[in-house]
Amino acid sequence: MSSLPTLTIWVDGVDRSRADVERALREAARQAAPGTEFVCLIAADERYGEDWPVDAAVRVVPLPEDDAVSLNRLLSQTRSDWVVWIDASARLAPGGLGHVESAVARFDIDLLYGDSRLPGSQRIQRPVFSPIRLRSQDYLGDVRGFRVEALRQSGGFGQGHAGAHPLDLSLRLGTDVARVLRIPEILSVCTMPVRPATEQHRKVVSQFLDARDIAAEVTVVAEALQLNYPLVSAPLVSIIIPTRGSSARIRGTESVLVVDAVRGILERSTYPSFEFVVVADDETPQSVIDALVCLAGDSLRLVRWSKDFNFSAKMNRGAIFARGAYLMLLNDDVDLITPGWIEAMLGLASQPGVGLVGSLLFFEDGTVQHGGHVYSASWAGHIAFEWPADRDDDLGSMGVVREVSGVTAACAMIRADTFWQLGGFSLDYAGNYNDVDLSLKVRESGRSVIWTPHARLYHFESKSRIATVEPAELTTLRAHWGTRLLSDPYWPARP
Amino acid sequence: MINSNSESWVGPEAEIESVDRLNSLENLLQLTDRIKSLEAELTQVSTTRVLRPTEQLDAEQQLIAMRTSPPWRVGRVVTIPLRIVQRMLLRNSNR
Repeated sequence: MSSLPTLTIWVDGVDRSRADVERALREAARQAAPGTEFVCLIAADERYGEDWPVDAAVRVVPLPEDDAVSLNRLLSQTRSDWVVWIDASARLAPGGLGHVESAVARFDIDLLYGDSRLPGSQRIQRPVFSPIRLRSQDYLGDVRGFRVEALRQSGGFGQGHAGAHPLDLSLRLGTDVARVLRIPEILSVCTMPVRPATEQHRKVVSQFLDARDIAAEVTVVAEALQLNYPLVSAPLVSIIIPTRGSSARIRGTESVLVVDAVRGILERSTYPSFEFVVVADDETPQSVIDALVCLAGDSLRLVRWSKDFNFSAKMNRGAIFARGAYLMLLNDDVDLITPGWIEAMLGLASQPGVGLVGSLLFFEDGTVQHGGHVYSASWAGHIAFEWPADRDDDLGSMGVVREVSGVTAACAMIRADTFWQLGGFSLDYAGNYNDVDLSLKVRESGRSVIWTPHARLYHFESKSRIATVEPAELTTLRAHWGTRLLSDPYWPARP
Repeated sequence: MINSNSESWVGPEAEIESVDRLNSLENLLQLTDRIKSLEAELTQVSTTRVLRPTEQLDAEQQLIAMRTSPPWRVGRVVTIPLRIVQRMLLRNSNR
């Protein structure tokens, strides 16, 4: 008869008040099974007596500044199967430990985390495990579980990571995403949904990437980490723009959209190696073609489109004429904000396992048009749609690179070989959902879809535009991807 | 140049060996997409798809949410007579 996995509770009380530590221990002891091991980690200069107000034996471990040796000794001594790590500034929510016990008994996993609640009643729903996001932000919360055997096999606690061990362990144990569990229950009551990034976090991420030969410059920016993946070469990027040469009033002046988009890229992009593949309808005014030729010269590849409108087919034709190793799928009604937009997206697109990269798009009035796709209740929409530019969610999601369910093809980058392997855009979606379908094909192939706030553009699509959705397109989308559209793992429903 | 209309624009068009080559590459993309679409549809109806632990818990949560939703509860109430009759028929057939 196999026995249930056993837990040991480690309360991290370093730099936390005695009152917080006691409260965290008291709640854990109330929920724990008899005989559960309790460890309380405190700073070396703290002096705690034995008068714990909890009905459990608590082993108090003062930690020196470099605490790895002490923690690894503790790890080697534990007889439990799991370490439940609780930051003492938080405490277990009622039933929280029960959810953990039930999960480790059911699933063969190495790492777990769950939702939180702020002291009022607001629930913080955390997205499913996103290795790319974890590099920018330790968003997994104040209570998480580590399987002891996996911890030992991964080398235990790293030296010089005091204050950032949970992030370090989560990065290393999370290399196999399938062995990470997000429990969709409230595990903790916390004071802040996400802790601001620190220098220790920066070191942990740098070391993690170094160990995997991933070149990246990691800096602390605001409350998160920003990663810049330096490019060892400058592969040709083909910017595919479908157009019919339309004009519109932008910021009070008449704009020939595709011409101004190309001009903006030529004048402000810092990336040295790109070409334009402009797929122009027959009806495109000659003056627009002339202006494009004059502006872009040899970097322009003009492609004719003489058939009925089909966005997907136009993009596919563009891809056929593209010579670049990477394709930038771009609408003609955009204007770039960040000169390093191609570098930001290319750095991510060239990471192993990444299939498609999207950007942060704004309406003309500065509100957000696209913060990634969200697929929920059999529908597809945009994250942060019409949010003011300075608005964010509780987790600070708008400031970090993260995995998403999908991104808009108004501005997205994909490797050319990936595009071909997936069959490009599906002709079933002439006007709508072609990017949803492409995103889901990318994910189905085992690659991830990434959104970055570090590539920002205006997208002059009208807020009031009523997209003409062909019922057949929606029916086809649901037939192909029905279960993927029910709830969004990367953007859980906000209650 | 590809099927240009007489009144359409003129310009230095990107070249490809032949229209046949263009059609063949477009067909390649289309056929590959068709395969991917069929695979996706197959996954939808597959009973053998293995859910990851996180997906499994999410699915269970969705089931719970559905079973506690007003439409589900109303449906349960409305179908009470039907279920009573069903149970009686089952009991009689077992005698």
